[in-house]
Amino acid sequence: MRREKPFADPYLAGVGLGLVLLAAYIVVGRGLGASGGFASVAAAATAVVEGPARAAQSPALAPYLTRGIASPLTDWLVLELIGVAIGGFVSAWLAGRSRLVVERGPNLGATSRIAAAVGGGMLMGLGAKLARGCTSGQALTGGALLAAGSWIFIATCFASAYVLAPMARRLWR
Amino acid sequence: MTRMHRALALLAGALAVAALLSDVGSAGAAASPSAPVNPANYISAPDLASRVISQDAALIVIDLRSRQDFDQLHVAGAIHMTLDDLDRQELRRDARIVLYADEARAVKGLRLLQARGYQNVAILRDGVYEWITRVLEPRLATDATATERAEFDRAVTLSQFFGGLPRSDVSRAEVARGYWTGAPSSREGSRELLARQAIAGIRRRGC
Amino acid sequence: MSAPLSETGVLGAAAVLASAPLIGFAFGWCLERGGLGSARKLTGQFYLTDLTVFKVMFSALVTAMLGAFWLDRIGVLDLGLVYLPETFVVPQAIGGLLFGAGFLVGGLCPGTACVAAASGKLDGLAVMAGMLLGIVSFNVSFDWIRPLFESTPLGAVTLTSLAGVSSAIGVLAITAAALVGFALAARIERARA
Repeated sequence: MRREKPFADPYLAGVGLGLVLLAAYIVVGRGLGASGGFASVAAAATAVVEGPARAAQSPALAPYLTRGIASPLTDWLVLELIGVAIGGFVSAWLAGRSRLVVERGPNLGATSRIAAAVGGGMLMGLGAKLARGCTSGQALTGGALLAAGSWIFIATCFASAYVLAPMARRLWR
Repeated sequence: MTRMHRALALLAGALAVAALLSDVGSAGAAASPSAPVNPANYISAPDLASRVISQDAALIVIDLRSRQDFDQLHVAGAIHMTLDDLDRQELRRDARIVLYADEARAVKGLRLLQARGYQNVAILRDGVYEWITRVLEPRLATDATATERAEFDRAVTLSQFFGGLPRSDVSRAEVARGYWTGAPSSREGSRELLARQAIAGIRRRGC
Repeated sequence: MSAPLSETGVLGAAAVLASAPLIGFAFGWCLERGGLGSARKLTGQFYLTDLTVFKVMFSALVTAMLGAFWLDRIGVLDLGLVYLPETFVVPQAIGGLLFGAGFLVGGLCPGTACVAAASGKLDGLAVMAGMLLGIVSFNVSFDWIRPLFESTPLGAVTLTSLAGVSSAIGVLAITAAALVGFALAARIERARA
């Protein structure tokens, strides 16, 4: 077990992240993203369950199944997310930060934390679909390009979290 | 660490201020890539089809997509060019030019030609997707309104000229949506996908 | 204009796909190094005890924004060929509200959940599972959500094009706001110490 190293300076990490985003603009003419990758995986799963032909007829899923069931597996965002996981793993491993744990606030049990995580994830899944993106795709990528909708998303996302924070104290404090 | 932070902040501030100052030097807002297109520079697929049918001698339709896409299916009579070609080619000054590709590239082409002094340039607003769904393969829903029927009738005439395949009595879900039905046009995703699917369908029929 | 490389013919489709996991790796690395793989660190933002989220997000945003602006200005990157997310006013506002609530309750966003899961945090896996469930719920309800989903489209517009000013003004304004925000963050942290 390696000794745990401290986190990097947040501004440095941020500049690094910004340069990665810039590289994405330069190399592939698009930014980063995450929720879209999840949507592709969801579409693939639905296609497996329902059959690709039937799934591709659904207007919600059609954009993700252009090449039938192979599409989500060759989707740029899905491949990117695989990279994200590997990058996160290697960084955590080298810094002695990988361990099996249910991270939670000091006053919350593990089961409650998992339940909250699933619930929070569901809200984010819904919100990201409506907004056509998440903090990576809209806030970061679109925000850096001054996209109007992205900034609307940034404002409402942070406002919502701050307003509701007092009610969620039990989760984190 | 704070000295580094200060340096970064200074760099960011300097770059931002310089950005504004560089505006004063160049054309500024008009040159901004995100300046919206004047609606007068958009043309709809039915209007373009009418122009092609009328055999307007001054009409030049330019496909700015990839060579592969062009070879698969293009607007009747269109020629293929890359943006670089467009920049270098001398076209007749009184030409009525229509460009199409995905929106970003088409707008780039529009700006390019305008900067070179061409007055009469338009973009086929929803590209090949619109051409297929409003001219080649128009569809009429079973629950269509009178306006939709009228538009469909016009489209059938156009479609026959290009050897297309109109279809009536389809379900509402199979009728294409786009800016002309009040729905938003997707930049990527569904519009490109639907165009590809439609092209694949047309090619399967051996047209 | 030589970039975006994928649009100027330098990179083919296979190379574009191959770039995805590489860019993703760097993305995940930076997130983890910055501590964003930890739900407690992330949510500290909303109780003003740990302002890492704001610092990382906005320094990333400003870096990419300034970089993109200047590379376009000097003619290396053609921003007109870079994908600009479309604006749908109401769905994005509502989506943001829902997403913010989910972020608060779940403690991780989609990208950071992957990083968390990759570093062994089971709550990260749970958030990922929840996301899939949420997306499936959306898909299943698509028919009646659709009118909302497609409402109020403005197309691919920027704040500055809507305001009728050049993008440089937006760049300056956002950079200035971020720097002020960073100074404020320092003050808040000093007050807490």
